[in-house]
Formats: sequence, C-alpha cells, structure tokens
Amino acid sequence: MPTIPYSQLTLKLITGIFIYLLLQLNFFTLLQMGFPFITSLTDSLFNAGLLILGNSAIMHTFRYYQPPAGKFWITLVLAAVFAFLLALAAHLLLPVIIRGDLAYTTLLNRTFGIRTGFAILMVGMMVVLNILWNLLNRQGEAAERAQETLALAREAELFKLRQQLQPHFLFNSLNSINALVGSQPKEARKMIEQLSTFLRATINRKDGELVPLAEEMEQINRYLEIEKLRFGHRLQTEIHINENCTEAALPPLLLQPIVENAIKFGLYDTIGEVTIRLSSNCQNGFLTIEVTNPFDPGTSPARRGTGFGLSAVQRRLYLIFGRQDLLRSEALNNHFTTTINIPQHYVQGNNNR
Amino acid sequence: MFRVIIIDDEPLASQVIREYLEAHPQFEVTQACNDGFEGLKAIQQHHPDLVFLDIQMPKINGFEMLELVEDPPAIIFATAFDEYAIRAFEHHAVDYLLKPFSQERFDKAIHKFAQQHSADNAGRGEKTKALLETAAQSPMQNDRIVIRDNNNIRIVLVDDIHYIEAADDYARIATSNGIYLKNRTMQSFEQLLPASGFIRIHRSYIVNIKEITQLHQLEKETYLVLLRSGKKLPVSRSGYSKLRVALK
Repeated sequence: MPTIPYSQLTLKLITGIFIYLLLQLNFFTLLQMGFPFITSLTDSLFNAGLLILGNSAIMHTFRYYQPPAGKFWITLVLAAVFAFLLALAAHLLLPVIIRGDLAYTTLLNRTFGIRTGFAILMVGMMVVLNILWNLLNRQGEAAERAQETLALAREAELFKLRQQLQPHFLFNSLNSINALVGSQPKEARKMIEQLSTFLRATINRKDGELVPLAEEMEQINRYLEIEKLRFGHRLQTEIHINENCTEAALPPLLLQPIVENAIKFGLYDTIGEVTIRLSSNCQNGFLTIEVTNPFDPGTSPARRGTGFGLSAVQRRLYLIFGRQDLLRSEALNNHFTTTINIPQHYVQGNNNR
Repeated sequence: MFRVIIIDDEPLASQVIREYLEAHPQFEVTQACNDGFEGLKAIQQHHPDLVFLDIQMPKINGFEMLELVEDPPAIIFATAFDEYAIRAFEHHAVDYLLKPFSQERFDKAIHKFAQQHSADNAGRGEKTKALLETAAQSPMQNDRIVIRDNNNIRIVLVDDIHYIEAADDYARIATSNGIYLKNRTMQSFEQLLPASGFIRIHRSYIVNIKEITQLHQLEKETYLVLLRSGKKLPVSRSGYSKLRVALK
C-alpha cells in the first residue's frame, strides 16, 4: 500500500500551494477589474502574507495539540473567529498601504463580506487539514510500532521453536561420552567434538537467513552420527540428496526436529533395526524433502495431527513463508513419512503480505 | 552376592553401569537388556536383587514394564528423564541416577541399596507395591495400557477399548481383539482414562462413549446402553445422569 509521508514538510508544501493559488486568483481578479498592476499585487501579496502568518500559527497550535472529540466544533468556531480577525486586519491595514485610490477603497468596503468568507473558508480548511494530518501521522507511527513489535515477537517465537532441542538428546549423549571415556577415549574425543560442533551450529544460527541444503545436511549428519553412536547398530540411515539440490535454500535447523521425530518414533515404537530415510528433490520452484521412519500402527495411536515436534515445524514454516500447506505427513504400511516443501522463489524480508 | 539386571536401550549406557559396578565385587551383572520386553523376561527368570532401569525405551517404557512385574525387585532408575517426573518415584525406588552420573554418585546409590537391603527385607514389599501404584498413575503414556496376556505383552490403545468391567481385584478390558485382564481397580482406570471419552456408567462398568449406539429405557429409572459390538451394559442412576450430560 503506497503511503503519504505525513511529515510537517509535506503539510507546509500543500498549504503553500493552496495559498499560492489563492494569491493568483486574488491578483488576476483585481487586474481584470481594471486596477493597476501594483495595487493588485500589493493587495494579493498582503492577503497571502496574512494567510501564511495565520497558517503557521495554526500549524504550531495543532502540531502537539489534538482537540478532543467533544471540542471539535468549538475549535472550528474559534478558527472562524480567528479568520474574521485576519480579514478585519486586512480591511484596516490595506487602505493604509494603498492610499489615494478611491475606487480601491470602495471595492475594499464592498467586498469585506466576501473576503471574510474566504478567510473563514481557508482557515477552517487549514485547521481540519492539520488535525487530520496529525491524526494520520500518529496512526502511521502507531502502526509502524505495532509492526515492529510483531516482528520482535515473531523473532522471539522462532528462537523459542529452535531452542526446543531435546534435553534428552544432550544428556544421553553426555552419558555415552562418559561411557566412552573409560573404554575408548579416542572415540570419546570424537564424540565430544561432534556434539560441540552440533551445539555450536544450533546456537549460532540466525533466523531470517536461509541456508543451503548442503550446509543443513552437514548439521543433520553430525546429529545422526551421534545418534548412531548412542544406539549402536540398531539405527541405520539412508540419505539421498539430488545433486541439483545442494544449493537449494531452506530455513536453518528446520530439518532437525523432523529427523529427531523420525528417530524418536522409529526407535521407541519398534524393536530391532530401524532405518531412517531422507531424500530430497528440486522441482517446480520447490525444494522437497521426505523423511521416512518405520512405526507400529498397532501400538502408537495414529499420531494426533502431526505431533508436537512437527507442529512446531509447521508453525515455523508459516511464520517464514505465510503458508500452512508446506508440511505434510502420512502413515502408510508401517511407515511414517513427513514431507516438507520449501518455496525457492521466496524474496527474503518481504513480510508484509 | 547380589544379582543385578541392567535394562537400558543404549549399549553405552549399560556399559557405564557395568564399569562402575566393577568397584563392587559383591554385585554381579546377570544380564543387560535392551528393552522392557527383554527386561521383564529376565526379571521373571532370574529374580534379581537389584535392577537398573532406564525409563525411555522402545515400545514400553520403564514404568510400564514395572507395572507388569509380579514381584518387583529393588529398583534404581538410571535415566536422563526429566527430574521432576522422576521425583514422584524417589521414595519408592532405592535411588535414581540422572545421566550422566559419576562413580561417586553411583557408589552412593549402591550404598543406599545395601543399607536398605540389610535393614528390612520385609519392608521392601510395601515399597515396591507403592512404586507400582505410582507407576500406574504415571502421566507419561496415558493413551495406552500395557497388559500381560500369558507370556505376551499387549499394548492396548485407550481409543480401542470398548468398555471395562470390574471383576474382583481385576478389570476386564474389552476391545475389538478380545478381552484382557489387568489387575487394577476401576477407580484407577477412571482416573487414567480421559473423562471426555470414558464414563463410569455403573459401579462395575466404564464405557467408551464412542462405542455407544443406543440408550434404552427398560423400565422407569432403569436403563441399558447398547454398544456397537452388540453388547448391552446396565446403567446406574448416577451413570445415567452423567451419560445424559455427555451425550448432549
């Protein structure tokens, strides 16, 4: 939506144009009526000058003063009185400046009514314009603030969603390291490094920046390596990334909870070996990633909706892309598949949809 | 000599306990199990003195497994499970170890076990009974019930239950796949099952609302519900008023 810059400068410009037009009208009317050039110019310039003075008084008054709703009409009446005083000043002063022109003085006397009318009209208009102008200005500022607050809240929420890293994972990994320290210190060191790199990447990521799939997969692989150490040969993974996908962009750590979910249900819902499959494809402007895990439909209730971990992912996708349909999950023949679609032609920072 | 069974789905986690136990030669690891099923079998077979039990495990968790043990041995929980959740068991179990734990912390737990073991062998029965009751109330998995059916373990989803019938100390759980016995009171079922889906329609019956097809009036103040399976169940007066509210 294109917005008018409600600044004091624009207001001054608009009023200036109005006064200038009025000055022209004033000047040419007098010239037309047969008054000399200098008389016409002096009269019109004087009137315009008075209006400019009056207007700056109005601007100063209404810049920080917003008449309460009940006082609007009183304000207008006061403005009319002010306009009448301006007209009166012109009426008294003009004959002093332009002397000895009888025709002009007569005209001045005869047109006092219409000049007063014009003055009231102009001043009234300026007052209303000023009031509306400042009102819109304030509303614009409030809206801007509201949007800023919203953006902050959204950032905080995204942060929280990312932080939902399973404490279980952390403590159990530390426990595995504890085990390795005694028997296989080299392995322990390796695992400490893996865990640290994983945690560092989790902490350092910035929201709002999309990362290439290749980078995200590095993180996933670190995670999977740790999980494999924990669960021994029970956990197998099959990862297939289409070659044209490595540069595809996605929100950081978006895959993490999906893979976590798959592992959790795969490992805790079945006994024996578990294979987690991850594949990706790039088509029609979307990066599509599928994660599949085995599950037992007999013992795990058809997970209400998408489960907690996945609903957080859905929420995040919605916050970033403004769409609810980017995550799907289905259970088929003892396999649970989660699919996410990441739009690739998304312009970052365009949040005002 | 104390016989010990370790039940943990992570091999490395069992390894730590084995290693720490080397400092206590009077303890001997009889078996290390990878899940609750194996664990249950091992406990029934070997009657160990002490079990190290993890909570989050495949298929059935540690609490659910405990529920199925007839005469539970002394338990030390070893888990990364949230501390607040396990506090409920603190007084019933010998001890609980939060992973990762040190040899010193482990030794303390072993010491506690040895003390309790010599102090009162008789009091232990009460303790494990209390532990089982707490386990039954565990909110961790309230969408399913674990049942021992001869030598099989069945996991019944709460949604699949048609009705539950009181039978002395037991309860008969009727599902599409048959009727299972579970030694638990009607009252505990009433607490466990979601009130939005289940109603105690009678002193002896809790019914799944979704299974009800008809509400019959036999005589004045005497009602019956007809279930999808064709089964008819009596409704008491207070059950009737609860039903009317729920079926509205």
